[in-house]
Amino acid sequence: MTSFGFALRRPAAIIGLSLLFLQIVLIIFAPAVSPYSPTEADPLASLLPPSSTHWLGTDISGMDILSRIIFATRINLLISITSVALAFVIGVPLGLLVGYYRGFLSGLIMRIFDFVQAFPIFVLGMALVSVMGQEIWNVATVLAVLFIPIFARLIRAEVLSLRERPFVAAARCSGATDVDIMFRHLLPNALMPAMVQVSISIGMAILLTAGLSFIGAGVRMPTPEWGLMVSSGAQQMILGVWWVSLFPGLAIVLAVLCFALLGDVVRDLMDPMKAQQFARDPEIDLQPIGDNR
Amino acid sequence: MRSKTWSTVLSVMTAALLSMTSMALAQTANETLIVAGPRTPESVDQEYPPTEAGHEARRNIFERLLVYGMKTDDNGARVENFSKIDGALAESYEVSPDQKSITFKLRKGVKSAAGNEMTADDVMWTFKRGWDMKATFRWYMTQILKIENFEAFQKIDQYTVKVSIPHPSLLIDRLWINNDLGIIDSAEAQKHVTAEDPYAARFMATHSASFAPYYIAKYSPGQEVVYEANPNYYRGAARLKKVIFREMPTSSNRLAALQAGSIDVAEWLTPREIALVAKMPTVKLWQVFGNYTHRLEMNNATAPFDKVEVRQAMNYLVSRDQIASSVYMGTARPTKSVVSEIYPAYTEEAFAYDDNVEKAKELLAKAGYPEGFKTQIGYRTGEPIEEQIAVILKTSFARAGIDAELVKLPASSLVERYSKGMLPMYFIRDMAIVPDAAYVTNLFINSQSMVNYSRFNNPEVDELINKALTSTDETAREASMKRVQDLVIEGAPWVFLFNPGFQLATSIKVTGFSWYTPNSNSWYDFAKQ
Repeated sequence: MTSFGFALRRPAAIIGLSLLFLQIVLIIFAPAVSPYSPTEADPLASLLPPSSTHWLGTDISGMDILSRIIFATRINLLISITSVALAFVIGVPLGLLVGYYRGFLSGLIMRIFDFVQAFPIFVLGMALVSVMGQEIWNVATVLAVLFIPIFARLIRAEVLSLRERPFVAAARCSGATDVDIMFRHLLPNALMPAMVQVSISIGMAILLTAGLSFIGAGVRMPTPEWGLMVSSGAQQMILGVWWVSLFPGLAIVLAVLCFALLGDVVRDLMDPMKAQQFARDPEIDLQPIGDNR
Repeated sequence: MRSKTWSTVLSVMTAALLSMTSMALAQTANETLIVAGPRTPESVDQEYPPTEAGHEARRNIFERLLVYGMKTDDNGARVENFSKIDGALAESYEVSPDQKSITFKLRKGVKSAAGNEMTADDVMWTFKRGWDMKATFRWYMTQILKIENFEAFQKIDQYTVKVSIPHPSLLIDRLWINNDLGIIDSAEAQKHVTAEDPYAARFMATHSASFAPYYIAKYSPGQEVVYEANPNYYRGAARLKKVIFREMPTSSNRLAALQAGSIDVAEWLTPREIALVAKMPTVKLWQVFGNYTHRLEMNNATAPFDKVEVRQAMNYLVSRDQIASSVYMGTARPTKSVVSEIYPAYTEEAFAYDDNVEKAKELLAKAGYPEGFKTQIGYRTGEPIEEQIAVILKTSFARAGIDAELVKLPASSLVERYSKGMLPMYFIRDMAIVPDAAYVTNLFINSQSMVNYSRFNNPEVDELINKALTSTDETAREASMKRVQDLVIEGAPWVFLFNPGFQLATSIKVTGFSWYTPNSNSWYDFAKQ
């Protein structure tokens, strides 16, 4: 049985993958499955409760909440995946460098990471968005800035322990250059925690995107975005209008849950202890990812 | 036996003490009003640019020379009677027959909260300060009364001051009712003068020194302002000894606090919240039609809004009926002139804009924009109504191919950007304090006005306004003001939207609401039962 096959035997993985599949379908077929335009206001349909016409009701501008939630999947995942991908692509090589070369520059980079991570995450996010502007790509960039230190630190920690191993010395003796050692010998062995972190970070990015929009530092109205939708509905809660905030809130919960579950699965698959358990199970054909020892 | 007597005596004393304490607390509670509003004033100095929060502070901590008499309107609210001017700090006044000078006879025995008696020296120091600081006071004097130098202001004796103007003006008396023109307790203010700050601007930004019913006991920007009653106020000390104004930016929080009884007054609720409040037995809703205009201004100096056809087209793309019912819940009326409909000389005869997409497209094609264009609409954070209208207008404008990006900005950033001409379209909710068409039009659409942010420029309009400001012929003045309103509607400097009215939600225990043209509450009028 493959690792994918094993994953499918776990309820958490099934739920996570199902939710992921649902989101992918919504992203691709949003225009086809949305009953209304996600950004067109209809003043006469303002704050209608859920009904057969508007399944999840309408917001204060008369926009259909179901349609906005569907289209928001695109925006939220686009921002989250872009930001994490960007952080991964920049953070991993940076972590590799600061772990391998330990000098003034490495120290400086680590202090910059300390500086970024010392800030309350929302304060830093708000400050960066206010400087760069409330555009989708800017929000993604801001989140990437916040995530880069996380990936870099994970890789650095791994590299620090791996660089003293005999296989690195062996590679050096056989004439491998620093680049060879870093990218051919260290990186494949140091990558596992970062891979697990990807899924967790996407969930975090969804929450942060929604949070930034909620406090007014995310995307602009009437862009369909879950946090913005929760925020616009919060004002009406006191009037007994619960549906405007509740449904986008549930969408956030499900999306974050999806990536949290997938993160757990990836972590279990890459955990050496779990891998040994899998190896003892004759039905499981997992390939433990080892180093070059 | 003895211990029984003692315990009885102690019980009686305790009961009496508790009863006295609770009476005292009840009295204190009835003398303290807790108000929640969107923001604390940015500054309490009357020379600071006027804002809604600033106006309210000024009304309570600055007393003026003259006031309007009061009357009861058709809905039972106490409002200003624009045809009756009474003395305030000036016990009486006299306008010269040629309307070129006014002499104020100051009230004797008027004392500030600091205990200083008002004299002509306080009035002259206030005038000198305003003139030299080149801000609000200077603007009124030069722009409205056309005063050219400080020689216009004269101290006649210890209780008499005269102001002379170069041209006749029908506003020579009523301008002094404006609550931007309060008189300062110069003795108190001058204690805080330094060589670098000759008019105590730093002190006056956060403190009060005047002859008003209240003084500022505590000013914490972004948190709260505490007003305490001036025990020496010339009309008698206020019934409410303390007014605590708390900043609560979100209107739903203000509503929740009012519902819970933790505040007595909730300012600036949304129309939906107002509709909810109207059904609550513990809340009293005070409403007047007021003088606001809530409009979407366009920068008339830059493309595409430099073309009158485009500006007219925008006005044809607004479904006012839908916005009135869905956004304002019937509490607002469409604005159909630059002048408030409660002011003399108002006319809406030229207003013909309805929801007509075909007409709008025709005008856009004529202007060279048959496919529409891209633009931006700026609005303030913490203004759910503006966001709601902005989303509706975005959809509405899209019918003619106009792609409007919504830009939400903090109030200060928004003002900075539109005052520098950096935003093509932006919301403004404003009012003109002086109930006079020449004053209003001069303020909003005279090309020389510093608050003509739309940069509307029509030489005929300017000429008519300037003539009206110095004319004493009321009939000719009214005719020219009607002509100005017609020209402005035709020139369409703004997308005319709504007069949202003025509503105030208070606890049922609160009485005494009165409405004034700056739409600011005068806590002196209020009481708590």
